[in-house]
Amino acid sequence: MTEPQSQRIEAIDLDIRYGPKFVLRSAQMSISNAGVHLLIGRNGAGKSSLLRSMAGLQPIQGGSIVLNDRDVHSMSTSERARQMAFVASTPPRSSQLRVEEVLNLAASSSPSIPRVLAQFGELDWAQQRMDALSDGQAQRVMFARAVLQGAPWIFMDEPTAFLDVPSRKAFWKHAVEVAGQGMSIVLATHDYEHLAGSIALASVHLIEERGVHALNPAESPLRWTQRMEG
Amino acid sequence: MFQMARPMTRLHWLLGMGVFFVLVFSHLIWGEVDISLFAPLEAVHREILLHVRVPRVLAAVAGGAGLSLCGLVLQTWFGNPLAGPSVLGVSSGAGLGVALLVLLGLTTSWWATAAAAMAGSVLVLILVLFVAHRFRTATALLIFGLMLNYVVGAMITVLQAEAQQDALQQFVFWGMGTFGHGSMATSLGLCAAVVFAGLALSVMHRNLDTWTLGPLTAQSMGVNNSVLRWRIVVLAGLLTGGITAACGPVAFLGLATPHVVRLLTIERSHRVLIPLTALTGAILALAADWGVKGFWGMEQGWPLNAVLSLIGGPMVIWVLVSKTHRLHD
Repeated sequence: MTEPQSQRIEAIDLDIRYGPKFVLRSAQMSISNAGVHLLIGRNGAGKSSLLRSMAGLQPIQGGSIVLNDRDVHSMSTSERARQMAFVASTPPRSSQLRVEEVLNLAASSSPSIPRVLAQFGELDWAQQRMDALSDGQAQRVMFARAVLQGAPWIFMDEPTAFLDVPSRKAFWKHAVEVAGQGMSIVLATHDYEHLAGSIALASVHLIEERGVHALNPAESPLRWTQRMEG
Repeated sequence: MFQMARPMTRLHWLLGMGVFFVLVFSHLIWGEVDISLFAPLEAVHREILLHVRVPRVLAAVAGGAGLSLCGLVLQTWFGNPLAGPSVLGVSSGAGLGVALLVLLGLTTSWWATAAAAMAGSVLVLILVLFVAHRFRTATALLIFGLMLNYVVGAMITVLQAEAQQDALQQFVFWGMGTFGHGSMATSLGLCAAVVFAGLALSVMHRNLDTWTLGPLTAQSMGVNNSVLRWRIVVLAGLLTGGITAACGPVAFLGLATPHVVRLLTIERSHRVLIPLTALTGAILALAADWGVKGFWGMEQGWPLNAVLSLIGGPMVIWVLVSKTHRLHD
């Protein structure tokens, strides 16, 4: 785990578009320090695009993403991997690697693998194949893998979208633990009501056509939904 | 519990190497004349070994291992168990390169033909790799490859219609596919290419494993996806092109071998799959070549592609029936 330290990621005049259609235009956003940071918005508002751009996984069409004074999109892939980990909305469904092999791919130090696996799932998953796990189990393995990557930032794109309610609860419990250990989690999700009830959120941003707005993280999530409805 | 050593894999290796050496020796000593291992080597036997049997065994080993490695890496890249150099049209691309040189009578140099075949393979691979993201199912990619095969096949037919008689004869002879045409030099060149490609792929084994977790996840874990894709294009294209130039279009071997390996072992990491696929591919090619040479008093053997299609065709059907339901995410 990383020591809690001053970490900051910013979107400056960010343009994202697909063909002629702008998803975000001259968007500004700034997130700093450890904790859980939420990106919320309606379907198609650009949460996933913004998240992937911030993690350097999708090209941007204008402006820049700056992580601690460094341009994210001019870093090399391996340099970015040391700074930022990513959890996609669907777990891999065709990989036949064993869980321990997946964790080994990410781990900077293998002794921590059993500990992290026991924390996020169960130790006897180690020998199971990824495609034999349920979506909920596989997604928890992918989260454990992201933590083992040892980066101070973890970006998650609707990681619970395909999970049942008990799996979601388990997933958020781990997210809260990880945030408590000094990591910064940036999360695009529709599932914020449950999460807001179990942790003090570090920040909440609403992504809309008109731009990105910082909301009050201490407010009731019902108010955020009202803002979203316009 | 987190150790990676597996006693089963070691057993596979011992058995595999045993079968491999038995096949190699059987090909070296048996044939139209039998060569004794124990009597001193006669001059004529020496000639047969040096100019016929050793080149043929080397070509079969390199061809089998190389095409199987191509099949493995294409199946990994596409996440598609139906991918392979022949079904995706990569072998046809090589064939077109050979056809252009041979049928238009431009050159008879083997090395120029090999270069043309490699260029054809690489071009088809670029085409396939850069449109593949548009296909949502495994079967769509397969149909695209089949259509490419038809188009390239039609181009070759047009070239054949325009060709001179002796060039046509040479091309048809090549097109039947065999491990037995190469000289010692071409076979050794092929072996060197396959060893190089095998080592290059082994260096990439972690990236190939990571790739199975999905493109975005792989990229977030430090894999440079476009570099990985270009390496696969170059390695698979050069291998398929070189092997096709030397042995003719070889059907199904690249697609079938990785499935045989997955039936034999529970391992799925490329660290294990790459060498095991190369060994199994060499064994299958040597075994198929016994069908080609004919055995147990057969008058004559069967064409290589007939033997391989008899094994490979049912394999594709089996994969279609048993596995594709998992690909519709």
